[in-house]
Amino acid sequence: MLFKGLEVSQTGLSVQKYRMDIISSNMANVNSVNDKGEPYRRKIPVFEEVLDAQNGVPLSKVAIKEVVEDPTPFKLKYDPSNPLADKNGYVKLPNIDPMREMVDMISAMRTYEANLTAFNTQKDMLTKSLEIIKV
Amino acid sequence: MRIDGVSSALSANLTQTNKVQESDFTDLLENFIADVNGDLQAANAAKEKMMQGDVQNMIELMSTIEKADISLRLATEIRNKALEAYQEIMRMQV
Repeated sequence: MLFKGLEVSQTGLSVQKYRMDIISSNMANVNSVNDKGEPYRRKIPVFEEVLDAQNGVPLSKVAIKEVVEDPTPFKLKYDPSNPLADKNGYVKLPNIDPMREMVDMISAMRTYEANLTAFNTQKDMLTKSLEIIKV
Repeated sequence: MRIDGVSSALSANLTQTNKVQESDFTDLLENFIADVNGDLQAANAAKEKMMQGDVQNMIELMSTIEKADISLRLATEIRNKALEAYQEIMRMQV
């Protein structure tokens, strides 16, 4: 009850951390194929609101609902010497744009910072209210 | 117009509230201390986990420790206040 706000911010932090993990996975697999020889598909996390009502105040936590795959077509690269090239000499590469991942990374980082600031403000407010009882 | 005396009703009321408040305050304090203790134990468990190197969620760890810290501070402040009140009463001239 007292720490509800902290818990809400905490879920925000966890979710952004998870998002960052997925961005790392996308960045790391920019040239990968999976075990079937198909290129890696870009993963996108989907966030979900989790209502956690408290005394009639509709507080919402956040959670990862699912991780979906980006359906955009794979990039094609002409490289006939590649063992994975098709009969026309094209190789399918993962549909990852490093620039886009960088932008997502910045967004995740800033959202994380914002949640952290909210957490610390909550904490400061709680600590400040202790000054009432002090002499 | 008739004005009823309020003293008897008031005193009855007073003793009643006093009784209720007494048990209430004890309960409150006990629950509160149990709560703080729970928070501290959670923080301790989190610390153990951290020392063993199996931390799944760093944020959860930090917020558990922070919650325990705030709870303990509040408990300390309440203890100080109660002690202060006791000392104030002890200082009373007889």
